[in-house]
Amino acid sequence: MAIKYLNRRTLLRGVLAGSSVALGLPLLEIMLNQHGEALANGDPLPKRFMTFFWGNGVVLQDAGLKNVDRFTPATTGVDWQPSEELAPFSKVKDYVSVVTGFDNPVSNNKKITHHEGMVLFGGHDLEDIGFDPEFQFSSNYGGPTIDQVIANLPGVGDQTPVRSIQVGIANGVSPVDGGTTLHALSHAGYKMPLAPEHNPQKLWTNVFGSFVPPEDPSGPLRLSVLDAVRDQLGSLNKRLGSADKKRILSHLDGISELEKKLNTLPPLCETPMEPSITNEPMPGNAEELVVVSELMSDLLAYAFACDISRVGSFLFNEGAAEVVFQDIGQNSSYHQLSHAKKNPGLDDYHNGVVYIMERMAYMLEKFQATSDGADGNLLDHMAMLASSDCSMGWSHTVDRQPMIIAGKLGGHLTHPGVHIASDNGRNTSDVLLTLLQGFDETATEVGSGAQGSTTPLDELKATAG
Amino acid sequence: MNRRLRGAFRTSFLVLASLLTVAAGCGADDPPIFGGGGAGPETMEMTAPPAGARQILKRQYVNSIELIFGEAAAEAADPPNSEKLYGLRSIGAAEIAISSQGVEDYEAAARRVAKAVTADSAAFAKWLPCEPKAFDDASCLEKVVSSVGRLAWRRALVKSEKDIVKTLGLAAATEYETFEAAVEYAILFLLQAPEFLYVVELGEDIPADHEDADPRDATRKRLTALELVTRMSFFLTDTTPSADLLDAAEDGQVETEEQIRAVAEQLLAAPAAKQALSAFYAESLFLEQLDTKLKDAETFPDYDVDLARSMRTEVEKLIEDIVWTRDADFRQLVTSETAFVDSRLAGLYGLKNASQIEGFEKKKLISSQKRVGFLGTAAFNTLESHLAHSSPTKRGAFIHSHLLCAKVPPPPANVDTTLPEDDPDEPKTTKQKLQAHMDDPACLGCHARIDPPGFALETFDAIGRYRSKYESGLAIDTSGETEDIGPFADASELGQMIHDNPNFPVCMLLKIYRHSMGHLETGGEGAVVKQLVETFAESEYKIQELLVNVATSPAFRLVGDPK
Repeated sequence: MAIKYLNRRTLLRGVLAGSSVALGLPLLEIMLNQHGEALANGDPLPKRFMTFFWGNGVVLQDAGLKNVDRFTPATTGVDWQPSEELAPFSKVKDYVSVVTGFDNPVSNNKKITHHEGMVLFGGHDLEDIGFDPEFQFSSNYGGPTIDQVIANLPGVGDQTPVRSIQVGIANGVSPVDGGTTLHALSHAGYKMPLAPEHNPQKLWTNVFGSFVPPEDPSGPLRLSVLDAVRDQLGSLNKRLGSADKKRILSHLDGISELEKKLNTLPPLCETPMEPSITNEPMPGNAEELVVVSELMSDLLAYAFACDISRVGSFLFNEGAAEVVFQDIGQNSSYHQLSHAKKNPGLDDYHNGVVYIMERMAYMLEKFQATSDGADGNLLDHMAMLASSDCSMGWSHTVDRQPMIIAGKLGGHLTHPGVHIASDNGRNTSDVLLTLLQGFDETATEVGSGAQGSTTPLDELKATAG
Repeated sequence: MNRRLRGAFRTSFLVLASLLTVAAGCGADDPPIFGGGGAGPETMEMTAPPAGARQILKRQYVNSIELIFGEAAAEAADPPNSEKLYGLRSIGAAEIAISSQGVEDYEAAARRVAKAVTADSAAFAKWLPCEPKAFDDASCLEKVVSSVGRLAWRRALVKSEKDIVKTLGLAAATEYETFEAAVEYAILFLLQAPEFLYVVELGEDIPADHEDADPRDATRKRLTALELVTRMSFFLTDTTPSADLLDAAEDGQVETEEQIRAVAEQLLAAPAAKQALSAFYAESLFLEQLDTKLKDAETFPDYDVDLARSMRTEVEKLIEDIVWTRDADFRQLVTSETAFVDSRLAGLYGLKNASQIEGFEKKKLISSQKRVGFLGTAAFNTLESHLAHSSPTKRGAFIHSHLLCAKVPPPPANVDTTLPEDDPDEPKTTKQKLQAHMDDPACLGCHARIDPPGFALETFDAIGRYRSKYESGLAIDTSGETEDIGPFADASELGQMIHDNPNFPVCMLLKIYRHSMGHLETGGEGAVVKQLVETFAESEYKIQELLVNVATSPAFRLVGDPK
């Protein structure tokens, strides 16, 4: 296994007397109240949110095949027993809920294979279906994904120097999208994809490596340059049409984000060392999917624990993209394998699902091992929503699209976790609303129209009976 | 049989449909953007493409930095990637919003450029247009700002703008007590300003008596001379206009069609034009994906970074030879019987004395292999294959989508996409297995069109090596026929059929047209595109002439309402 971190030369130093705080207590004592249950100013401990995506579904039972379901737990409720594909979560099981049998609410005429699974992450339909004149496989995402909705709530993204973090692991670009839907898990809005960062070194720089120490005069000078850039954008904006105005507003938003970062002192808590690997794909070489996904998980844990960001998204592999799980002895494209509904092939597909779940489980275990507040860990104060681009790889259906939810979200979500099964195709967006209400208790709807929801999933909430 | 899937591919937009003989489709309904037009293009006045702002591409950013500041700064820049939309980065640059991370990355790129400019004090002194008398020499700073600003913003800065830059620069000079700091912060602003990052094309009013004026369309404008030379420079050379070109535009030398044509021809004569076209084809033929293309190491132990790079270079040299060295019929892209190979590719293709080849040499291919043109290249066959196996479906879909611009629809939802499994006692060829698609009415409509051209290429394995039969010993049947391509016996005949297909040159033309403005054509541009298609044919499909004709077409210099 490759070495994940370089030496400590790039370690950021805390500004108080040059000291940094020991690992394991990332959220500084001085930021907490005497009991460690809240921030010193009385605010509750911050809540975090993230989404996780993997491509090509899981092995569910297909009515036409009478095959064995290798994902869905046999029982529902709090006593759910992990299936083969959920076994990797054994160490964090109390924090995990599984939601099955819910239907993705995408409009029927917006289904184009692989794309429509993404509707689950925001409750908005796909747009511009088939706009690519050479390629009918193309769409754009119709609105903001749930992570961005939460990041933009007052008291979430505005409280941290980095509003949200987007990471990607496997480098393969999906060949089945001439638009933007499949190439990003986070979308700030229509035609506003937030490209995932695949390079751990670059992610480190983005999240930990670009704070300006207070004594460095470049900070204020750079801020005054940004002021002037903002003025130029403002005068250009007046001359443009509505579509371009939206793009300039997004640019202005980016200027504000950068200003916020430049105005923030380097974090006081322990930050990770700069990773040594860049995850650049090379023909003939295998991708280091395990190392890279562990690194990215570590970086996210540090970022959440240090309160550098409260929102993230984790795109393991794009739907239908070419990726090979060489670590488990495979030498075929995982997307190809996912088309196998029976052996030979089905076992390889299933092993791939397990492999992905192991990567997700590592991340959750890392969050569990990272203390947050006096007695808690990150999972106590966060929620993660994970799903795929389809239910089963061989049929590409988004009916019964499986979801994995992790974390207690500060007591908002039921604990220990449960298996909730719907036998009548309940709307997956109900879960989005439930999660959103963990950040905004006044929220009554999420998404748009029939793809959204106004009916939260009460069984997922801690208050359910 | 499923009614929706019956029949041939539909070219699903108005322009192409009106130009070509293409039958009804096997896919979904026309997308709304192309479905709205009423009358055919023949009867339509041109609707000018919308005005607006487009981001410059990553490569255009880097090339502009090289032109303004030199090589070291260009190497340091590393601006954010340009996202593709509908197959082209220029369309993404016109439609996708910049993200917060993108804004931060642009700032970082500008800082790296600024540092690189001042890093080498001897080179910096040489680059400066004046010798600073003090770290806060305002008049020398103004000279820097004027010359850099004009090249970066593609126009002269007005006084108030220069004052802003000077104020920022002098504040930094005062802080650090160096003139370098003044220049660095001036650059930092100039390169983050929207005037550098976006090409703004809003146009100016057209005099009512001018031939470009449309009495029924008051919104129609024409690009200003500066906007026009900027659009031409980025389209044809992927870089910011030179000072001379800006002078010409400001002096009223880029007004008439002859003058515009002369500018286009002059730009095409620059080495940057070759580089720009090469980058365009790397993008539009997906060659850049070779930089990351994985293969199964067990099946192809010789496949590595260098071989993948050679594959890409081969196609770039083939295009360079047709377009620039010989200014020949571009359709030779799919019929060329010679190839540009280095020793590794020559070995892959089974050519004699492969090890003696130095660099890339033009070689005659082995005619019995039927390997011709782009479809015979290792690059194409490697890209459109699985990790270990060739894929007639992938190759056929590429040919339809990206060479003939026929829209290939996705498979219907909830359909079984698996092929019949291998029976060791009764091996089957890929063609026989794919026959299952033809037997299933849900698949037949499309696969009967997608797969056959791929069968012709089955003699090339997943990295483009020739094979006369499958590993199983079964023979390869390369023959096939589709309604839109016609019959072919092998790869060489397939190349000829694509060459002769009227959709092929139109498809090549449309890609260039879209790229030139970062815009998908609409029905209102039908007449203009039709005219371009005719002159392309009259020129015997010369790409250089096409590039000039696109740059001088009314669609290129006129704009409508801002988008």
